[in-house]
Amino acid sequence: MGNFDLLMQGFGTSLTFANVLLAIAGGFMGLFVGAMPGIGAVTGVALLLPLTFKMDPTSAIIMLAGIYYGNMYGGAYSAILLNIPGDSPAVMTALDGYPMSRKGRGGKALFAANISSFIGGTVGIITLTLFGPLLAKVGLKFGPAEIAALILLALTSIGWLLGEDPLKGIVASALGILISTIGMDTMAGGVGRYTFGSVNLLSGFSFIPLVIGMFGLPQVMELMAKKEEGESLTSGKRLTLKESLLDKGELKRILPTALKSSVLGNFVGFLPGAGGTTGSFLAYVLEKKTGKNSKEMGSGAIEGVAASESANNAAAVGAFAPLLTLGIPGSGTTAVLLGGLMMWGLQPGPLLFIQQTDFVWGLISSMYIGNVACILAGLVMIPFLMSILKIPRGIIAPMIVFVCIVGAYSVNNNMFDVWFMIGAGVVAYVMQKHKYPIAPILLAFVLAPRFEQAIRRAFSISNGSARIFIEKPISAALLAATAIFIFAPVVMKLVRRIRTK
Amino acid sequence: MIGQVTSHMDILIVIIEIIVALVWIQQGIVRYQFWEDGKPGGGFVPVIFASLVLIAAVAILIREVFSKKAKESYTFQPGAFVPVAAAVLGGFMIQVLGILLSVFMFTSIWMRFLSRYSWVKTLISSVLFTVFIYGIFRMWLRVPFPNGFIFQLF
Repeated sequence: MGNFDLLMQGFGTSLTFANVLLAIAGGFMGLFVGAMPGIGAVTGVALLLPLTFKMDPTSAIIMLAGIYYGNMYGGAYSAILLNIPGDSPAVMTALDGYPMSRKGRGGKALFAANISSFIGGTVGIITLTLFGPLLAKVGLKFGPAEIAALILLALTSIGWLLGEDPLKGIVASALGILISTIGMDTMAGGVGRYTFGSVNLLSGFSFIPLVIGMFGLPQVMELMAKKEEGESLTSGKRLTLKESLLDKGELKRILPTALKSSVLGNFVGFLPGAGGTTGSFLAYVLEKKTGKNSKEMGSGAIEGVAASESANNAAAVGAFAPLLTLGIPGSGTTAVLLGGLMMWGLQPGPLLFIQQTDFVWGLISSMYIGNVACILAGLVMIPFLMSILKIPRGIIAPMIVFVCIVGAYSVNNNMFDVWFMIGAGVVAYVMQKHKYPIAPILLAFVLAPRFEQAIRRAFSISNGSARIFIEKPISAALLAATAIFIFAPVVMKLVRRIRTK
Repeated sequence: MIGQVTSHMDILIVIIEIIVALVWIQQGIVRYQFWEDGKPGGGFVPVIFASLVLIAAVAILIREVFSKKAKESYTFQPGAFVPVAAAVLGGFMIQVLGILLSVFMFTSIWMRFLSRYSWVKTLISSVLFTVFIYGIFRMWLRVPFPNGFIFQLF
């Protein structure tokens, strides 16, 4: 039987009225939890997983797919509305989504995020259906050297592309890496690093308090500083729900971006350990480099939202290929999901697509249902979400501050994270005022541990020889791309100078 | 100080960056080892990226000091630090009063005295927000909030 027939068979068992309702319910809950600052996708899936314990396996997997997708969709909402990314890939969404909200186009940003997430999810599932086992094998070719080179490419481009001043961008990215080195050095047997004798620093800084502090708090500080400018979160004319629907022109703008980013994000998702953050970031970079409206990006371009969200969702599905065929979770969320799926009888491995066809195709068909359920749930939620933008500043400001506090606290249930969040907020505000971009700090913070692990493993494999990075064609090509990326602007500048002389 | 903050602050930021980079390099080489047993040690990645911070920060410093371009400035707004002070206060309130009372009092004080809303609007909004926070985080997501120092006395 071909993949298509098997998929149809999967739909046959999963597509019942009760299961569709469960998928929508899972989607709603996932969206809600994913949008809560401080909860994030990993915790969201972990918290909602017990809801499926009393169900039959098919219904449980379908609801899990809805929850998983809902979390992926939901991360963008708080990024767009409040400038507080719900999860790490949504950092890129905030770059354009929030400026859109400030300009009164928050509804359009939400629609764009939903539609792009749907496109990303759909491209991801179709690719997984057609080439899942094959791509997992390609992903296996990405060893530590290739992963290190890929993340280096992402890290290098962060500083150059975000912000007005490349030097300050480089400092910001490198500082993000330095912050990430605080805590246990797991590769050296759990020795504390840069903790300066503090017990609280032994477990390192968590991403959520950092992102809430660096994005959320400065946002309220900015609101309070400009008291005279308007009453609500948005400035200028606010669009109604009808006006917020994407018109033909806007759909034309986001479609190519979403498709291109989905393919890239999906591929990154297939690589074990690369994750949705790398996917959404690389897609954003690609759009900024090749897109028609690249100059607008960072100040409220709809393409920015589309690139980030489609790549993130495509990567989220892509992560299922190594998860199912190799048992390697691509992210923390898929690791939690793997636990849930194994409880229902999944035995990941190369023979999964041969030995457990019913289960695997049931799961893939539930992804289609989950994706459709989430776009429906997301579109239903938009009017409610848009009403947040209408809340006057005098009411929303204390609420955002308190959500920041509770969000930071709820990560590890300790007050240290709250104080760290406040400190990070002040530092971010001052840095922003002095033209340092903040997003690179957060992205580097997320990517650095994976980079460090990969580069140190690669050196261990090669007994300390750097040739491992050049001898392998994939890593050599990625390093060459990194070099071109760094030196091309400098060379171009020199050429232009020589020509003008 | 309300007024124009000039490039002095820029230079101060750069100096802090240089100090951080030097500490990271020193600790990375001396304490955590840059290279040991023929492979990278715990100081390998930190030293490389701290060196990058150092080089870029020195370049910014040189540019700031020798640049003939007019320095950009911004107006320092003390109002911007109200949320920071409020967040610190909110943190202490949680430890002393517990989450329920804190969220209610925090929102009420801000809305009544900073935003100057009527008592009716203030109380309605504060109660609704308290129910939201408690319902979502405490009841549904089961985040164990501190009970508050005062309530632990009884």
